[in-house]
Amino acid sequence: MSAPRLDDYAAIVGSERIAVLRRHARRLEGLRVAVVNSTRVGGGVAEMLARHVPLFNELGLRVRWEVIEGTPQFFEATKTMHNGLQGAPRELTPPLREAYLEANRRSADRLDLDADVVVIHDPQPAALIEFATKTCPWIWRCHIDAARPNRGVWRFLRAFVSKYDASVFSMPAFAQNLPHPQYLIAPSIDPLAPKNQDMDDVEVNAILARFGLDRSRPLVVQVSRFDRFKDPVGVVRAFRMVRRRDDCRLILVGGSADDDPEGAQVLREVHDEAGNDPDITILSIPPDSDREINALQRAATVIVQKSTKEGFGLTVTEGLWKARPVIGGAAGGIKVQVYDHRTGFLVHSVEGLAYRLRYLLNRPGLADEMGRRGRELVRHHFLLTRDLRDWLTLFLEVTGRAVA
Amino acid sequence: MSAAPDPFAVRGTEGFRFMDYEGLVMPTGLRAVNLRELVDLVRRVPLDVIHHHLHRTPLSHRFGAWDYPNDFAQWAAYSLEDLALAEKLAALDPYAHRDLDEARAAIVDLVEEHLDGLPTVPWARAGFEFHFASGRFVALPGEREVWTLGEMQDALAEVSLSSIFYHFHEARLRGPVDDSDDFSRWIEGQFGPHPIARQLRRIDFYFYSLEDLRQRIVSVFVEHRGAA
Repeated sequence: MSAPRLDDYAAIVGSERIAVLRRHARRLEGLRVAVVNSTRVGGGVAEMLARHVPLFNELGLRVRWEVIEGTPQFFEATKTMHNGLQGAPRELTPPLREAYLEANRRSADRLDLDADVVVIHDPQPAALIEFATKTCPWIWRCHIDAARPNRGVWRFLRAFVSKYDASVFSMPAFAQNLPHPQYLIAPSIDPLAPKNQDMDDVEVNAILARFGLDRSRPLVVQVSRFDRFKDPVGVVRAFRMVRRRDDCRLILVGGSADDDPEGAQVLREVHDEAGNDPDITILSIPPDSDREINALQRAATVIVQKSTKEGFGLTVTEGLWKARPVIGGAAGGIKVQVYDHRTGFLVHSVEGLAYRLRYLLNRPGLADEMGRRGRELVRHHFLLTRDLRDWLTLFLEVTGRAVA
Repeated sequence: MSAAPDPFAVRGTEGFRFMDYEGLVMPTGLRAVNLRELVDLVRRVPLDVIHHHLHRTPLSHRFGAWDYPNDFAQWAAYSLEDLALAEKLAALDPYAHRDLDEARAAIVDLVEEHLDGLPTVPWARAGFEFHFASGRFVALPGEREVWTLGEMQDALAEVSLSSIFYHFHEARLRGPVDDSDDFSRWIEGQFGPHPIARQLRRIDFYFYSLEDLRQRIVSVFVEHRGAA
């Protein structure tokens, strides 16, 4: 199947929104943009870029996607930075700093960064600005919940970030003390991507069957990387509390992205916690299992995202788009997607998750109503057409082309 | 004898160009964890921050409910859980103050008086602090230009909600001090005193979501078209 084109989105968001994108893009015709992140596969950022880049190009911009490469020690350093930005007490040791800088130095030589605007995603390639020749506006896009960063890690990173011309955060709470303009752009999902496009019950059931699952009992589903900040162990504990009264199954779905070396360790901890409980299914699936994830989210009675830290929580967005109620940890971007009693519930503890799960499992009509509201919320605010529009506005701003 | 021309098909001498209203929110990094901090920051943040929190709230999603029409009132309700304060802040009409300094003073007075009556300073739930932001917004000419009432009605049903916001809400801060929107100004400029313009000016838009406001505006046109 060929990739969706802009006009294909009109049926979902309305033709006027597509027309607005085209109008803005005309002012940016031929703009050369280099975007850099750390992986082409796995994780929300790579998924988003995989859709943004072709659509920007269809709009007449010339967007090139580059990927920084590094040694295992580089990815250990960037994982430490990622966790540190989320507030974990981690130290960037001198060898880790050196591995980080060396990968950025080498990549600055290797990557084609000749452009009219350079957009750098997350900490991994942030130091490219130190080693590349800067001839245009550079924008740093931070997808991480950096509301209360580890000070040492942030001080190290800030030395590079402060050289940028602007930065973009997903939530106001993540904004930092920086010497340049900061903007908010919420991430988004692609409603026509295999992970989110409509799927009939026959296919949903067939995919469930491949995993030995069915919908004879309510399904509680959490889809996310096996990461401590996603608290999969807490989800298992909450499920046990629910099971004392309510019959249901728990499915934890995750994979490991290329830049996530801690995943295997957390996965072991989850297995230890789950033991041999036949009603808990732990699926570690490849990062490109989009249709499988689509089916599992659609089959869910309730979707859970019990994060204690969260950049934005695109799995929440995906769940809401499938018209399922979501119970989420009150962290990061989950708070702008999950509204108590409207699209789901925000919880602050394992007990809170258990309580709200029971609440929704016993009120299927209410759960459906929340799901419908959640889908409309996403339609208005968190689909990629809105994201593209925000980026076009930012490009107009930093290039000075926003003149009426 | 020829029939009277359809008033909705009569061309004005000047067209009305719908604008695209685009912008980005810019966080300031300033945040208040309790009501005392909020009022202290309201006193000293730049005026465009006050403008952003007081006037641009309709641009965010509201689930069709219009409980608290500015960011301060929403925060009081959902983060402080102080419903009395939320009601007072919601009732504050930002368009009654021609000058943002005056609006700022009104918020400060209201909150200070409220604090005077409380035994303790209310705190926000953890993670629900008030984050001060401003915005960089720009109006760019859209493609729709209309010359008749009928064309305006059709366009109103289709243009973006941010365009409606620009022409209906923002217009009051930009145009002459007559508390009117761009649509009614254009209608009266082209066709003289007109019942549609009068009715548009009477819409208490502060309590509508943008989608509801669109429906309300269109309904005024529909009503008059039926009567014409």
